Amino acid sequence: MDNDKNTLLAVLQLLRKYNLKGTEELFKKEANLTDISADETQQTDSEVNSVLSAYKSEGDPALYEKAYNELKKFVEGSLDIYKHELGTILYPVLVHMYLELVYNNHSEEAKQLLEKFGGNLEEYYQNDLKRLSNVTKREQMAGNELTDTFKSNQFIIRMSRDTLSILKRHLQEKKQSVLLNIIQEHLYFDMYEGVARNKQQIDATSGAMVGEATRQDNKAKVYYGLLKEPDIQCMPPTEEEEDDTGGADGDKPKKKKAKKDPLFSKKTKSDPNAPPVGRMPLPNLKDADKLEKGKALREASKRVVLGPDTLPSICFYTLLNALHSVTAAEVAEDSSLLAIGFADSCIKVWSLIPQKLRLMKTGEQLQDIDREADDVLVRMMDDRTAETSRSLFGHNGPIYNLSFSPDRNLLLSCSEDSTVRLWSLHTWTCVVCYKGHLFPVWCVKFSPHGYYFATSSHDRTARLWATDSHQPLRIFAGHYSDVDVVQFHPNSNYVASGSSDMTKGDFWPQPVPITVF
Amino acid sequence: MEYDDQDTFKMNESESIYGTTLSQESIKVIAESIGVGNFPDEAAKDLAEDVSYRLKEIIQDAAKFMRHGKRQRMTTHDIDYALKIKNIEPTYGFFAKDHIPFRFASGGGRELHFVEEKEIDLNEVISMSGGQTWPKLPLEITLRAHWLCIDGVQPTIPENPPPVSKDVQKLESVDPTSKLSNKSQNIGVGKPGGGGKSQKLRNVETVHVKQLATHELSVEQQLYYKEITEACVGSDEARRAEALQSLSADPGLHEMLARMCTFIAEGVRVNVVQNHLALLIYLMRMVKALLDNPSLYLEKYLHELIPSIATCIVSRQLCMRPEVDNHWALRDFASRLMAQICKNFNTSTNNVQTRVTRMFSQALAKNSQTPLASLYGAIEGLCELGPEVIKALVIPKIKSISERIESCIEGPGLSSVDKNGAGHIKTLLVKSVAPVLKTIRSPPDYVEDYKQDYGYIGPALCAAVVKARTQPVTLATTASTTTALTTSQQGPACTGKTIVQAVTSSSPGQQTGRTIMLGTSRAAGGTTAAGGQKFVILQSRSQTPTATNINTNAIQQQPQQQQQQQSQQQVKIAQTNVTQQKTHMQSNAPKLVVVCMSSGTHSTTTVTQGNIATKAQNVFVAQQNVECSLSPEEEHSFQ
Repeated sequence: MDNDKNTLLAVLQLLRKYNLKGTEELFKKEANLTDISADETQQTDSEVNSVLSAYKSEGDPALYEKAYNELKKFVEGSLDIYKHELGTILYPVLVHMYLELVYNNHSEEAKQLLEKFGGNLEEYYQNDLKRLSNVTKREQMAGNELTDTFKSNQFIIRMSRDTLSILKRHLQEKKQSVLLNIIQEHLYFDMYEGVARNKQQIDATSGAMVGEATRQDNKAKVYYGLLKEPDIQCMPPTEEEEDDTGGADGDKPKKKKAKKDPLFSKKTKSDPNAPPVGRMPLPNLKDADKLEKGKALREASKRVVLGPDTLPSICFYTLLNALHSVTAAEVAEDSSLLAIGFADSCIKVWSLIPQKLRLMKTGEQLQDIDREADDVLVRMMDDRTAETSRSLFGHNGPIYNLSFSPDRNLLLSCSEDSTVRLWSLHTWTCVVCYKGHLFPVWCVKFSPHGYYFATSSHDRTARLWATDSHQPLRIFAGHYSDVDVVQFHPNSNYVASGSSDMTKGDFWPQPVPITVF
Repeated sequence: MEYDDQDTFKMNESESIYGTTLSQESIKVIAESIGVGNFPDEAAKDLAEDVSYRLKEIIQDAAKFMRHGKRQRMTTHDIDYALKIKNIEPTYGFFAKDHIPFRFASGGGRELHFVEEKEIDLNEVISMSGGQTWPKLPLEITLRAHWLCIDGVQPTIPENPPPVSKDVQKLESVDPTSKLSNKSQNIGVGKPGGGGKSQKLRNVETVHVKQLATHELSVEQQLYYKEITEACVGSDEARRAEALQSLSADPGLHEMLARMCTFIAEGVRVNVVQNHLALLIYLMRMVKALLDNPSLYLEKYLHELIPSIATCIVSRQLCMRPEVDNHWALRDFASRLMAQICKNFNTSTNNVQTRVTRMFSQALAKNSQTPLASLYGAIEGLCELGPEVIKALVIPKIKSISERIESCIEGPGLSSVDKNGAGHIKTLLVKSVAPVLKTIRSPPDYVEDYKQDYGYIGPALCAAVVKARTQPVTLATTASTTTALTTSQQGPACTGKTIVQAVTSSSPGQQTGRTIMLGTSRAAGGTTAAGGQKFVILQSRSQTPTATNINTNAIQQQPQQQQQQQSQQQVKIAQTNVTQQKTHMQSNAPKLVVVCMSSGTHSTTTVTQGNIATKAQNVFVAQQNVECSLSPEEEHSFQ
């Protein structure tokens, strides 16, 4: 009632503004507002504007349900080939109708609308709808991550030309102003030539908070090939295979297949899709690394292909007495080490092989070692300190992810305290503490070639770092919600990030050259 | 909120997408609690909505922390972190056991709330360290590795789930054809080298195969069977404990279950004839272990087990020297097993309980011909089946039984065996019937009435009932459930016999199953009954080995040394008694009574259990003198 009165007053003032005396009198009589004094009707201009603008976008709340229902019927009644592509429009329309209703203080209608139609939408939207349903008041819309995203971004829908024209014809026929407004303001149609897509194709790409990716986005050339393996000439003689080709060390199984298969071996000689070698500056391999790589290759060659004849053997590790405190676990590539992160901010590393974990000797003792000896790495370690497990302390919150460096000398950990720490597995101490993220860091990954690592955080960014710099090399911003995971491409040239906003597979190319500050 | 994706979908189907919101009333109550009276409705409504929204937002963020912590359950920490990232002061105080009393102080225009901290006297702490009241350190987090699967075959070790679940075993026993129809699924599991191609081939051929399941044992299983059976009836008590432990805990035994049951049945048949009491006890303990195994379903093999157990209950003679050997204990133990079987496996189709009850009551019906020992067994068997059975079948017979007893006890010129037997029956009746009588007879208990109704045994019954009525409630409840006091056959008038009084939690479901583990101490905490010839080992069995077990192992060393000293004396007695018996009898260690307490899940129950346990111990010590003086020689029987 109060609201109605306000509206009437606003109209009254508008009439006064344009000096429409006759209409004003009539209006006053008709609306029974004769007893209202002049100063009461004096509303501020801004108030008038807001009421009017609300009027403009609002319409009758009952209209929304009708409009949506008609749209839904139209989608369901359309031809099968267009049906699924047309169906993609339902979710954004529902969301924006809901938000408009809420914005105009029609909470009850908004709730009804969502209850009635929300359940029929695809499963991958249900979580977001659930979150959306929290918002039932105009005041709540301000500062809400979800509604902000919807308001400030257009929902991208890919559609074939035919489907789009059908939709347009329908909209013109019906002249539903509510629907037209939403579609014009909040939806972006990325049209393409060709036949409409089927359900599987649509399901494969939809589900994100802001719709699908436009075609333009994925146009950039991606060097998805594997890097050329650096020549390993200091290989032990037992390794007679042609080792100049093959993939990166982080991807042994693939490479092995490639080697066995003559078809692939031709390709891998010079992979046309591989990025140029200098695109990402990688650290030079040390002798020890080369030895290690040779060993890994040999081991990979002994690998048995699993199949119905050779079933797998699985070793199961159980942590006892942990009492719900384990928050992260990581096994090294060669399954020799296991790192566990706990909620009480401690990290424990276990050795899964008979070889125990040793401390490096002290400085004075290290000077006595013959640096030219073959087993200098073994001699560096102090045998008296051998233990099967070691603890690393330093964080100030639960550990959310851990990552071993490819050479297993370093360990990265990220935590709720919004820092990332680098630990040396020789001295068993924290080497660097990387501060940069503003909120808890969810994920950390070493690049397959070492040196670089990527992190992702609640602050909606993913970052690229190099181990020798305390500042990030790149900040990848663009996600609309938490970035939950990051992963490197095996050739270390790309980082993929996954987020709670349901956009996955964002590919962040790392441009060349990366200068190290 | 979004604890779990699937839950969310379910909720969408069934109930509203909008969860609950705080009600106006709640807000008003909260307002009142902080001193705001007369909170207007409008304000309460608005506040309720806004607070609900804020709470949901916080919980959503907390759910993020829960997911990244790889948990399914949200903790207070998650809420704290969610508040932290919203720049709100986290709420502290979730972790104290008790309410933290904030103290209030004001002065100079300032108000201050604070928690009072007591000063700790370090000297006291140091002197206390390592003592009884010193809290135990939490166990260190350790890593344990086992094979989940070797070349695609899951090894049958306790860590792995049983290859054939109990439900499947149950299904098989109910409907044998089901095994044929899905044979390809579980075959070859648990048998190294089995499964795979050969199995598929056979499946194609077996259209006309008869519906008998074959039990092929692998070499490993054959070895296991040999080891287990040898250990169970062998002379080494430690090995037997291990073997029984294996039988009661290992998954994947179902394939050799048929052999085990045959072994038991054959063993009982032979040893009853030869009167090898000790061997019969060992075999019954095997039955007990198999029954206790959570992954075995014995229904298919009851036709072998029940006759064997019944034999051990009602057989005329079970031992060489009925006047001294404690065959009563065996009968009691077997009766409890029978009751457990009836409870676990009685269905409308097999009528196990009815048939067992009929068997015992028939023996009772012709009590004039039945030997006293068998009569005892029949009564005990019925009594274990519960108060209803006692009411319906035992109490009407009491009079005729007591006539028989009277003639045995009072009559002149009868053998000591008969006297002894009659005494046992009397005690048994008094012990198990009295609690039932207490419930069916109204308070004024006159000795004459009892004598009229129950004959010779009347006065004793009357006394027991009166005593039961006067006893405090907690004890009375323990006594009224027949199964609660598991082994103690004697009432206050003790005739000298081993008493193993198991104190269990108050739920009857666990009592029959778990109460008594004769001599099977795997990791036991120890308390010694001072100066006596036996050790009461109070063991709280929990699923995982806890600190208690490990720590008290050290304490147990001591009793074992004492045991060594006493064993000489014991063995001497044993030798005098059992000279004819097999040699392994003589090397037995002294008696080990294990009072086993199945620890409940709630800490509160454990506390009460602790109380009862101490009571039992007191009773135990009080009776000890009598026991020792009367028949220490009987004690070997339980080893």
